[in-house]
Amino acid sequence: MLKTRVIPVMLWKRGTLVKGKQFDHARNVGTVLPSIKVYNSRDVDELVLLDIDASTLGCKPRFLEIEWFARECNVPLAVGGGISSEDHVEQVLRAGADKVVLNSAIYAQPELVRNASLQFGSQCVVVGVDYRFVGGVPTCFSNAGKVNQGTRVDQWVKQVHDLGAGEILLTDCSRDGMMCGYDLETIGQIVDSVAIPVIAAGGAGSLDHFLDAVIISRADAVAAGSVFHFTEITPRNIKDHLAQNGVPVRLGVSL
Amino acid sequence: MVVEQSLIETTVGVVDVGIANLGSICRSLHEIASKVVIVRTPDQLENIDRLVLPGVGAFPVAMQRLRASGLDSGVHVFAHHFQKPLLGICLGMQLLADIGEEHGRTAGLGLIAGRVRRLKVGPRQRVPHVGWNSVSAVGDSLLLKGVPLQTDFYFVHSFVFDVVDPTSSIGVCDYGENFAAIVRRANIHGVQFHPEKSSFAGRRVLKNFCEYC
Repeated sequence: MLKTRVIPVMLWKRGTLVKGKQFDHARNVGTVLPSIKVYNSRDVDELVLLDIDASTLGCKPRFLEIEWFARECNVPLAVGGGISSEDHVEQVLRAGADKVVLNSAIYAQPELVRNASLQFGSQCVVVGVDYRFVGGVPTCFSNAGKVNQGTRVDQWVKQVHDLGAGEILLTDCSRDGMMCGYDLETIGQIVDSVAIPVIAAGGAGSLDHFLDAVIISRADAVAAGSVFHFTEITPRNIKDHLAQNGVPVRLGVSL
Repeated sequence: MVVEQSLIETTVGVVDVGIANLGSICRSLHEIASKVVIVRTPDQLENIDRLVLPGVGAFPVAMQRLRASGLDSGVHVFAHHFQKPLLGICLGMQLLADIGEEHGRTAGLGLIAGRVRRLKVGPRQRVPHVGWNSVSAVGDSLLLKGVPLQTDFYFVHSFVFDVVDPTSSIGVCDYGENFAAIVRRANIHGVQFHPEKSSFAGRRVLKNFCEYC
């Protein structure tokens, strides 16, 4: 049986690991490489690493650093930030990422989703969808949550799904870092509207938040950042909690 | 984490199809085997004891690149003529088939009889099949030696390998349907999951390939 994944999200800015609130006020919470090593030794299901500066500064993905990080990672690694061409996708995958997270660049060039999935397979194309509520409607924001794209989340998700996206990483900017729980309603709507896996992100702060996203919103995977930086909760605690409530998870083996 | 103290004396080649990341598979193998060589041309196959054919990407693109470098026949000679151990991973396993149905029909390497077709999905089933799923061994599997029953491995794929000879499928996974997670014909092995991304259990599979296959 396929297991529900618990995925730590690492935000990365000029060499350091950061975590903010509502996509702002990023504060330094460590360095990337040691964190990857720790998650790796704890046998996590998967890792997401996002360079939150690249698109805003208009830089290329930092291929060399990605290569260093990927070498330390024995579990699947998805990498995002600044990926704006097929060439970037290829270089990020070559650097050792298993998946790319496309976000800001594809609003102007949605065909990148199609081209990347045709060339590298849709399984390695994750589309990051960051949203805020505008007039009560979940609306897409790009460039680390700063630029309103004016597109409804449901329409955008359907579009990238049709273009060949393999997974959706869905983040509610206003809940990011607040540890107040996921936006269960939007997650549930998006999960029901597409046939590809949806990773819920933004707002997790307690064990029950994760359970809610899986049970109530039927998320295929649950992602979080702050809860791992600022509380004692580990991915394993979350999986134990999910397992106790009947959710199939991978508890790992020691060999 | 259990660190293997001594490396296995073997030279493992890793085929560079040009579209996959080789970093994690090479790094995993470096911790297991004494020598790891990236293979880009058929003449490099000469000094190699065992070969890994990794793969992420689309079937036709990968076959096209293998043909362009002459590695399609190179791999065939290595595994079929010289009978040396070959391990296909994910797309690399699918390339062992006669035919692939991803983006049209493409001839594969034809090393294990069968075709590669899209996963059949149930009403609430998602494709690609992404994530950790358990593998049940059918009979004895060298690759799963020492791996507990129903261990989870990491899968990322939309297509599955339908083998012609049912005995070629020696490990199955359930995702709406039972599909081949491990295939084998003599010295030719394939795994649909990614051992290099399957944490400790995956390491064991790679070690078994280097030690027992």
